[in-house]
Amino acid sequence: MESKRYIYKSRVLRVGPEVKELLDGGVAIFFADPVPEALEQVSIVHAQIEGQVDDINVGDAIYLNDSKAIITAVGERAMENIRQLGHMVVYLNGAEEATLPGAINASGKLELPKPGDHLTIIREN
Amino acid sequence: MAVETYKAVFIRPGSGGWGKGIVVKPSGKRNKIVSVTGGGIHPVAQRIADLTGAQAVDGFRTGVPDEEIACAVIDCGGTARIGVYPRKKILTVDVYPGAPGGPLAQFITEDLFVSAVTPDDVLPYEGEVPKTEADGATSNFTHTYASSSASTSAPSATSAPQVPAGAGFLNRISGGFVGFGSVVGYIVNTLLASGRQAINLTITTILPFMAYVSLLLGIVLYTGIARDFGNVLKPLAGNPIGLVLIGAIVALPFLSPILGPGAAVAQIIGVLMGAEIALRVIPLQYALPTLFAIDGQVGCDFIPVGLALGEAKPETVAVGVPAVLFSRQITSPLAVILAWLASFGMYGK
Repeated sequence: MESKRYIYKSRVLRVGPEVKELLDGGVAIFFADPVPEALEQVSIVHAQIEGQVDDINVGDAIYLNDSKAIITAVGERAMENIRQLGHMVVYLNGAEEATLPGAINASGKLELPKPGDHLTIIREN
Repeated sequence: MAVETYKAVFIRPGSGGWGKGIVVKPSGKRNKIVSVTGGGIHPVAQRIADLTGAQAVDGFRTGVPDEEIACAVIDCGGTARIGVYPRKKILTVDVYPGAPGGPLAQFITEDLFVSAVTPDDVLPYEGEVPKTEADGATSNFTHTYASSSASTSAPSATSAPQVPAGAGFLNRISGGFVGFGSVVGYIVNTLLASGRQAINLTITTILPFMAYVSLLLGIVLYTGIARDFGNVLKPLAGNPIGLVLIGAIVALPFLSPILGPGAAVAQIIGVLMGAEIALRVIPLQYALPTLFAIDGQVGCDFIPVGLALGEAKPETVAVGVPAVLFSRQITSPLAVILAWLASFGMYGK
């Protein structure tokens, strides 16, 4: 069963100055370009490469270059945020119930990205 | 710059919203209502702009410097937008019922933030505009994540330990301890979460349900309505058509929730029929149809609670309760007929 499917494919454009601190605290905030300046401070700004986004499931993997986190919960408004704004909030606490309606929970560790890094969500099984 | 006069609006929290409401009055340079929402300018932002005379702007398409923002309208799931604008002391209106949470929770205060806002919650305002320190935007944001996010990332031990490769025996032992510790942390966290959920469910759903059922049961027992009803229905028992009628009557959508608690009808007619069958006054074949006839109302008092336990939304409950009651009206007499048909030849000779 070695099937791999890309749910989401994007590339990091800019990394806000407060992203590192948020990552250390276990939260990663993503926004697609363009993004208001106030949000850019805390966000990993990326450019979505493919248009269509399937529903993200528990068990899918988020990759930020080589670092990886497995999704454990998807909030009820998370997909709407992704489709409209490329916006994701990933809580790296492994909770099985979404922390907030717009949140995605995952277990693992995402490293601080730099511009040009790949951001992908992959279904690995 | 042309002299413009802007009007003030009061924005109150919508149903299920957070906050006490805020007053927005654009002025001078600070004259843009920024809609930081998916899908263009949100109707709430447009409404605020219409009432104040300010300009509504799509924050994702147009860059607006912070000092020109009169207020920000967001549709935030609870982490990022809900916090970054209040952190800059910018008045923030959430169209979703958000409440302070996430790593920026401490910045979300009642004087800056209001949620669950619909266009109807934006009202013209006359009077003093409370002063917000809108221009003192900087804050001691650093070192706040660690403490506030500690609660959201409790089992951080699961991701933290990275034992270097090629380490010696000692490292493997300590790695074992760390692994053991993180497993314990995970288990404790899971149990804690389940306990919290159990108590929440008890308080918000089970206890109100018990109060509701107690009240209903009290009314039914005190007034004796169900008992009297059983006595009224008594003559109908004993023939197939009467049983179908009982089945139809007890399942009437306005009766079944009252007849449900206490099971008086089932008791009275059940005992009557049981005795008659035992005396061979009524043939044994009536046992099964009677069972269905006198139980058509069972559970009808429980539907709203059952739906709530399944975490149904209020709209679902509003539609679901009559739907189940009316379907019971159809299935209850039908069940009696089916049971009657099934009884033929069931007991042999």
